[in-house]
Amino acid sequence: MMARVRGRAVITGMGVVSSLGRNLDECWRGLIEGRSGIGPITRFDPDGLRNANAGQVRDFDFEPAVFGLRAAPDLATQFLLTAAREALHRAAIAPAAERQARFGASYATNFGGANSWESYVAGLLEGEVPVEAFEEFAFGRAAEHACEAFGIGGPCALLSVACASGSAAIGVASDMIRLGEADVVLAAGYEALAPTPLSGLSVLRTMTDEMIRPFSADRSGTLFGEGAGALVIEELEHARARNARPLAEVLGWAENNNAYHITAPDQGGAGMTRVVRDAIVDAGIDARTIDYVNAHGTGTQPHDPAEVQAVKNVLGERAREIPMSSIKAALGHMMGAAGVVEAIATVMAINEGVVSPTVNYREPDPECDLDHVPNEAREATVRRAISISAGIGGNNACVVLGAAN
Amino acid sequence: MADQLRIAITGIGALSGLGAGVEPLVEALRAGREPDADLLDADYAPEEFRESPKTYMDPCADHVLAACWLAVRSAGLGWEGAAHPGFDSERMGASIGTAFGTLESMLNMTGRVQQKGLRFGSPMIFTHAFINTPAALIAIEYELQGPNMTHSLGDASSAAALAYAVTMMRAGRADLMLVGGCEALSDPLVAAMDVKVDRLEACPTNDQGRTADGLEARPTNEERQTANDSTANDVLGEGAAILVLETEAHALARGAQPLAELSGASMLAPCRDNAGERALIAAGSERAQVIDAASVCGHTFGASVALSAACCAALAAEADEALAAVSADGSGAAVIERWRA
Repeated sequence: MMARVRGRAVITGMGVVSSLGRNLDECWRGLIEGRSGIGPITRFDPDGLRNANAGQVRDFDFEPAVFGLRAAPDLATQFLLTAAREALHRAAIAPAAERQARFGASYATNFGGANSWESYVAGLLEGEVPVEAFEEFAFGRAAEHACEAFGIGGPCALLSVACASGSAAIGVASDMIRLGEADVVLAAGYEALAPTPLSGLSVLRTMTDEMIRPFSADRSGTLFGEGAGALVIEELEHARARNARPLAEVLGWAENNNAYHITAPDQGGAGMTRVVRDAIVDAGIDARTIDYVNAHGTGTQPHDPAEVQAVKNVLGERAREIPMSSIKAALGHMMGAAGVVEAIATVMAINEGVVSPTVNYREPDPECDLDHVPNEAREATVRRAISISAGIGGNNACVVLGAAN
Repeated sequence: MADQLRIAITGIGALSGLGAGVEPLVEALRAGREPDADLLDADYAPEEFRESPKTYMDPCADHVLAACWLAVRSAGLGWEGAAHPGFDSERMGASIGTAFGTLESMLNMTGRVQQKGLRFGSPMIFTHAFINTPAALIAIEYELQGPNMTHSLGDASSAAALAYAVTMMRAGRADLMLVGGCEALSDPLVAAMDVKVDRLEACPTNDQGRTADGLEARPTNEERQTANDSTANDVLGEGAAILVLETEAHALARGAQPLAELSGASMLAPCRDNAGERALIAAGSERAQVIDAASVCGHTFGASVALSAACCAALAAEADEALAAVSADGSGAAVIERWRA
């Protein structure tokens, strides 16, 4: 267990922007109704991609003035600000006019201001230098906007560890609380669909040319999504003192690297096995008390069996007794936002007693033979759960969440 | 802070426009030399600083692997270090800061996509265009199976890398980490900085920040004070720096002689009134003497705090007071002291 713990990190607010809805309620309803937000990409011409569909956020309005901005920031930052505002509102924390030294932030993204980057390069190719687009692309700019908008003046992190970013950002935020460096931390992951990342994920053949089907024998790859997830993580006594209701506790986490290959999974899911084991050790709990696994579950042929094996390796017999579902077929793989949105689905499972399903599931796979909650949500008592993430570059992360008590 | 786990700096690796190693930086600082535009291209042969052969590499990754190569040797680890008997590679990690990362590869990738179509992205270049690819390559090169993070917060990026490495180690998540930052003077970055300099020169003060036609094309005084614009007039540089950080117990167990102590590091929310003092207080010492490598190797963005920290670590043995590296925007800092056994 973590050395020198000074506080307990509880979640007191959550917010989402996703292809299934632009707030938590819409997104959760879509998840438990077994719907998918994946549809045609309309923001740019997807011609040339293996798949013209993604979890694109639709009918999204952004009012810069609400966030004290004169002009709209990069689209990904708009998602971040919107989800963060909902999370803070739900936590009943008003944005502060002055910077608050005990209010921290931990942000996560894969590609940052990817659409601003596209604009910048388009300008360069025309012989122009649209420097404003360059500044909006810069990863740190999103942190500047969000910290300014909400009065965050404490410790700040902006992590990019590919698709493990969101889970790692939750972990870093919980460390800030557990080590006593902040009272409240905004943990948020954000990502926007953009041509270059999707081209890369298409030519790597991570993207399916059919449909995303996690754990299904006929799976052929993933589809991507966009949006943001935000958590307000707070020290337990701080939450109690202001009568805020804890929704769940971040019990522990771990993040690591396979140190094996940039894109290929390592042998037998060894890195994921270690990250799940280390997160549970960090939480100081018995692996046999885990009730639910929110999987990374991308729907690629090599990933899903490796993740199933990792869960079996650590949870042993318990792995066969509990649900392990993936929400990626419902939202698309939200990349830097995925870990946070998946943690939110996990907290909802704890609070609502319902586990979101793995949609688009068709055929059992002997290598993915756990209870993957195919297509329909399931009632379940979830007191403790893990959410797993993994990404290009060999990064893995795992967050352990528990019911607030 | 007496109850806190002590973190030893046992190796230093630096690469700058002044050359490979921290020594030329320290010599230039002692001599009080000005940064010279002729010195700012990191002119070296990257393949000489690799443990294993590579095919394609982004310059940003080249720089940081060179700094790792130097740091690992400085720490007496060598290539066999990570796989050393008695070492637990699962307890070893990397934490890297970069403001812009692999821009050259990103430009290459996006140029193909925009000019030829989405079908024509290069899978190889794409995998080298992630901002966390340099850190992932370090993990692979040195078999670092523990925590692996990339931090990007503008000029303070490597302060963040140092701060969260300290957090990870104090939380008991790693015993040894390669920590620092890297930046490459890629064409897209230089082009943007050139435009900023031109605008500042064309419009030194303009409180309204608006051109005659009402467009917000020129910086306001307020904007000039933000992190990026405050550096727009600086001589630009590139490079990387890596410190080998070890818990005291780990360093002593392998018989390593600590070069200095990383007594604290902090990363605060980017803020226009960050003067640096708050970050220094958060890092544990407001009275530390600030060392700024940018004064001799140019402004290196996300690598700047790491390069300054490398100089602090090299100078700490003969310094009576604590030394500090502070980001140009004042939001991040690291405090480094002489190692006291």
